[in-house]
Amino acid sequence: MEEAELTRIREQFTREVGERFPGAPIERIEVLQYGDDPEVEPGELLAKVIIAAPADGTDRRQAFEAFHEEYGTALRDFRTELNKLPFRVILQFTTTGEPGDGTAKPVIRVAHGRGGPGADGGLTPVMARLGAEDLETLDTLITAGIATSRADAVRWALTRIRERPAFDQLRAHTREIENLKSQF
Amino acid sequence: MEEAEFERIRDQFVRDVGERFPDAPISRIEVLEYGDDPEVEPGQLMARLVIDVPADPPERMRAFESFHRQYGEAFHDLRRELDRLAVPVLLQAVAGGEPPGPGGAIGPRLQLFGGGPGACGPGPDGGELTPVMARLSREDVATLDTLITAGVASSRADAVRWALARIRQRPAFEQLSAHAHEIESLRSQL
Repeated sequence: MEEAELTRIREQFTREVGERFPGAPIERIEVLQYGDDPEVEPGELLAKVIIAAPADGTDRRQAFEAFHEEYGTALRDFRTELNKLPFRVILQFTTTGEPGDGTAKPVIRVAHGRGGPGADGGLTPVMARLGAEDLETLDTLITAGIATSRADAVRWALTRIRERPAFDQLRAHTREIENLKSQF
Repeated sequence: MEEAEFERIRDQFVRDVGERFPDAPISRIEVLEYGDDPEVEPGQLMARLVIDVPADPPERMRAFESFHRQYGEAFHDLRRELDRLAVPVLLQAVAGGEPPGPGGAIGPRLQLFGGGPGACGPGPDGGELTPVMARLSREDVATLDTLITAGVASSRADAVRWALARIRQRPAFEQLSAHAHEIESLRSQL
């Protein structure tokens, strides 16, 4: 995305957050693109709202939950608004401070509602934590135009695996194993 | 998993929920294993609280959020309790009742992954990890599960990593990668 376009989006996003979350303890707002943060996919933006919170893990979580309680509806409305943009935006709310004493920083991630959660008829969510090399593999597939998103690239890779002759044989064996297991 | 062990875990879970969620509007407690629900991986369990909420969408959301407010702490405690088990357990709280018609929202739901290494635990390289969520068809999920049953991967996440490593090994991928780098570099020069 062009720098001027990104600057315009940043300004608009900051204005919207100010209007939609009046009085909220917002420390800062970040709009990140691909390359700024590993979570951002090519062609996607990550809009991050950072809430000011105490350093202590328990207090921090309480402050975050108080924010969620007060602005939960505003948060969902904002998400609906962002869905109208011509590109994908991940909306994320988190707190200041470093993850310490074993407690991770609280994060709310409101993903794009592509057709609403009811539209995924029969699909199963699978979450995988990936290292830099695996992410790069997915992103290469996106850049090359083979896949439209990381999820799509994962599906493409699985289809390729299924096409291999060895996979057919592997599947026949695992079916046999399952079958034998049930006979014990 | 053996039937006796499964029953022991289920009974313990039902007891824990009873103690930690007094008077909560829970209509059902489920402990599911592989085959019961597509979200459960081989070798994994899912513990689920079905919350009693009205059918009307805004009311539904409000009732679920009020459950979350009141029992959020207890839910996290329950998660820690499950982390002590040897088997990885996915913990979910879902809004009960029939989801409203086609296109209507299913849920809301709340999900806590295990703290220990498990389905979504640390990757092989121990470096910085990034979560990637993909909604997969039955065929794709079956592909991952075949890799687990065959002993090629230890979890669905691990099977995804394995598949990507195979893609990287193909000669065509190297060429593709070179082209993608070239595209990136040209784009920045435009």
